Amino acid sequence: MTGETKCPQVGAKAPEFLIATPDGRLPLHQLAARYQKLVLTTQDSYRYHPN
Amino acid sequence: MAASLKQDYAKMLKAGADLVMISPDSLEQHRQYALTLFGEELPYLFVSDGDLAIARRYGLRRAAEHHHGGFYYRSLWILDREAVIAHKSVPWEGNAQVDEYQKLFTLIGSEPGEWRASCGLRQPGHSHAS
Repeated sequence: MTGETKCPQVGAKAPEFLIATPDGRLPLHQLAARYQKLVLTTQDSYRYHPN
Repeated sequence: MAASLKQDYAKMLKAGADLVMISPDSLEQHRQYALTLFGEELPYLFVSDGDLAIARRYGLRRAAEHHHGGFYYRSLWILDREAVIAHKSVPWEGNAQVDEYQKLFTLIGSEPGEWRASCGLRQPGHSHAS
């Protein structure tokens, strides 16, 4: 792993960012509070990995 | 293919979970990606991380371009109601490996997902060239 920041660990608070939802832009923690689990997945640009 | 992804998303919602996809693509690029590959827009939430700020905060930015191109690790994170990380897989091979994809559904207490072979997912035990 050569990321600039180390990955946050299991048990840590997830770093915040804003998410556009049908109810407006929500901070991550507010969206998480609405669900039993919130799944985040990151993908590289589709132009690199079109699958 | 989009139908199975939509079915899987419905299973996530039924299990009390929601899904957010993050990539460096713009919203319009993401929309075009869905239309090109799946013939319709995808139902889950999407976040454009064009400046890779999220990638940096989550430690997902590659220092050098991957040999297939790109600077972003694929990853999977599952958060609880307090936004505490309950599970992480970095890098995540859920796009290519059936067992990795299915593990997501197990972790959120859902029925198994349907999206597989038609989009190139490999069965467990197959090597991954990328």
